[in-house]
Amino acid sequence: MSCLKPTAENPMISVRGISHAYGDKQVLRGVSFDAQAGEVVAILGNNGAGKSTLITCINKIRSPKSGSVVVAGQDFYEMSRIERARHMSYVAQKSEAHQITVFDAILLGRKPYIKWGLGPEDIDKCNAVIEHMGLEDFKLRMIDELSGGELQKVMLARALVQEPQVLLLDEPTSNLDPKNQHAVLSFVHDIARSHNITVLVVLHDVSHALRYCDKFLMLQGGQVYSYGDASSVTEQAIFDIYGVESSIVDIHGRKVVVVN
Amino acid sequence: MASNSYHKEHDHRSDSRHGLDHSHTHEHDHYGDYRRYIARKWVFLFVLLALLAAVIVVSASVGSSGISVLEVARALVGGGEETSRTIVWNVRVPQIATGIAVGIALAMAGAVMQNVLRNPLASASTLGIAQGASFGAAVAIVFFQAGVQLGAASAVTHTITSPYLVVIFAFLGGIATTAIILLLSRVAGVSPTSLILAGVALSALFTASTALIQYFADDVRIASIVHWTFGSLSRAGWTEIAIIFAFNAIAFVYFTYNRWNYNALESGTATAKSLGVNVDSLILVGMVVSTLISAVAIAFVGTINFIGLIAPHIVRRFIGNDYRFLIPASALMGAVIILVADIASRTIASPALLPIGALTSFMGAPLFLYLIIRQGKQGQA
Repeated sequence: MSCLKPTAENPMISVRGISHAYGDKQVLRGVSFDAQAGEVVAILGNNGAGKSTLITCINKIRSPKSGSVVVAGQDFYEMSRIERARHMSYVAQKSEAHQITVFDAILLGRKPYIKWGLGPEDIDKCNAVIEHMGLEDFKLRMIDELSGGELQKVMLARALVQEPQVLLLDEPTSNLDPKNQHAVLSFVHDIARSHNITVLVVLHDVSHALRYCDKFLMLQGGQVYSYGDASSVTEQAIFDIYGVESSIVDIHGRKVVVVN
Repeated sequence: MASNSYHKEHDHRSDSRHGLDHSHTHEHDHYGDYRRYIARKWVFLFVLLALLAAVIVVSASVGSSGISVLEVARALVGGGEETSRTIVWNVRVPQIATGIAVGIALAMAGAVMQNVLRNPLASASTLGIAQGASFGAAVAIVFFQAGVQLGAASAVTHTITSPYLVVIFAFLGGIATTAIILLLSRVAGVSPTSLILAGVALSALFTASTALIQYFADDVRIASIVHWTFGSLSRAGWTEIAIIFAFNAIAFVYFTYNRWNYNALESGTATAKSLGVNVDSLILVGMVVSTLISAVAIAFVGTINFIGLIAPHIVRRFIGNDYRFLIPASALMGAVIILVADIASRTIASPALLPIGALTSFMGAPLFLYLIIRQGKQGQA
């Protein structure tokens, strides 16, 4: 496969002018941003700002009305379904758990690579991710018996087995307790760094975003309000986006948002 | 590709962390675990196959002519007395082959419909597809002279004179229902749960239409339809059996080819799409193929309900929801259930034959209710 090596000039992912509407209701209006390899980008905004729609438009689960996405120099929308799945993986907000084992659920990430049957490398790659994420002990358990945190890790593992360049996460912490929220986000942060994956993650908790993300895409009414590093997340921005007065305070060298 | 480095890097790290040998054996163990787990599923398939073989032998030896199991076994391999061989090969073997073919068709169709419609209650009979197919076949019999009743007193002399016409009409009746179901779920956005309610309405519509046809048909044809709607494994000849098996074979290859897609779809539509699955075509083709094999089976044996519901659910209890195994295991289980029902239909009120369709409904209806209760509880949770 010929693809440009992502650099500052050639970002890993380049989103240009994504617009989408449900019927007459315009949900996204010309959203554009770039992200580099290894960066974690938080997508922030209030309910209905278009966060989930944006990431499902980026990976073409939904076809946007207009716009384009370039991944590692290639037009993402022009790729075949399989090619797209090899470049970008996705963990939905709510995962449907059913009667299959953790191993088989993770193995599903090899789906874009499986022609007729499994190869030994598919099993090997699954085992590598399972070991890396410390899931060995329950890999033969049924996923419908897992706790929310465990299930979320399994879904992340499946997304990683897909060997993506870009990983999309839709509110990965929404059903988790505080300990698991931090465990999942910290893992996502590390994996982006160590394996040069760009992560786009929809988050509700701005303090979490500030702690684990590098860039911050703030959406307001389907438009980009601001996009930049932590300095772009200001008390004014939080007020404009969420409509709440807050203070951004420094605790042990970390920025934390406190709602007034 | 940049991301391909993930596993190489990881392998490298785990090597340096654990030492090469240790990590190697560790990984080997993982392999073993999973292999053993998969081996258990294969064992289940072979157990089902053995069960089917046993049921075949029992089925071949149950009947009014009083041939012993041993004699049946001899006749099956071409030995024994001439009369035994004639009875076994001309009467019982075709009936068993019909049962197997129909069981496979209905069970595979049920397993796939439950997946693509995202509803565990889906099957040809619960969606009204079976009733639509029955109606289509009735139209062929009454208006296009596709079937005649050779002697109203005898149960086995009903003949379909134009099997192809009956199949085509049964398929048209079934696919009309499928089209409505798909329009409701895909275009009108009806929830998977409500689809079963739509199935109830469609079943009632087609059952009423079949009754209406009977009202206008002559006596001979009424007898023909009434007998036909009971469902019986004894009316299909070798041509019909071959037709059902041929369609089953094509469907089996198609379903097996898509087994990973069905597994992906179990994780939800969005996840399946993100894994590169063409969800729309998977649903559409899956429903059309399922309808086709159900309709072909129903066209030749009449209405036999609930096989598509019972078989996949029993199998899921043992091997989970993995379509790599669920499709062949459901097929085998469907064949086993229908043969068991057939044995029961020939022995419970012997020498009278009970309609097999009634017996499968007696098995299926309680399971259907149980599944509704379970689904309701999950909905509340």
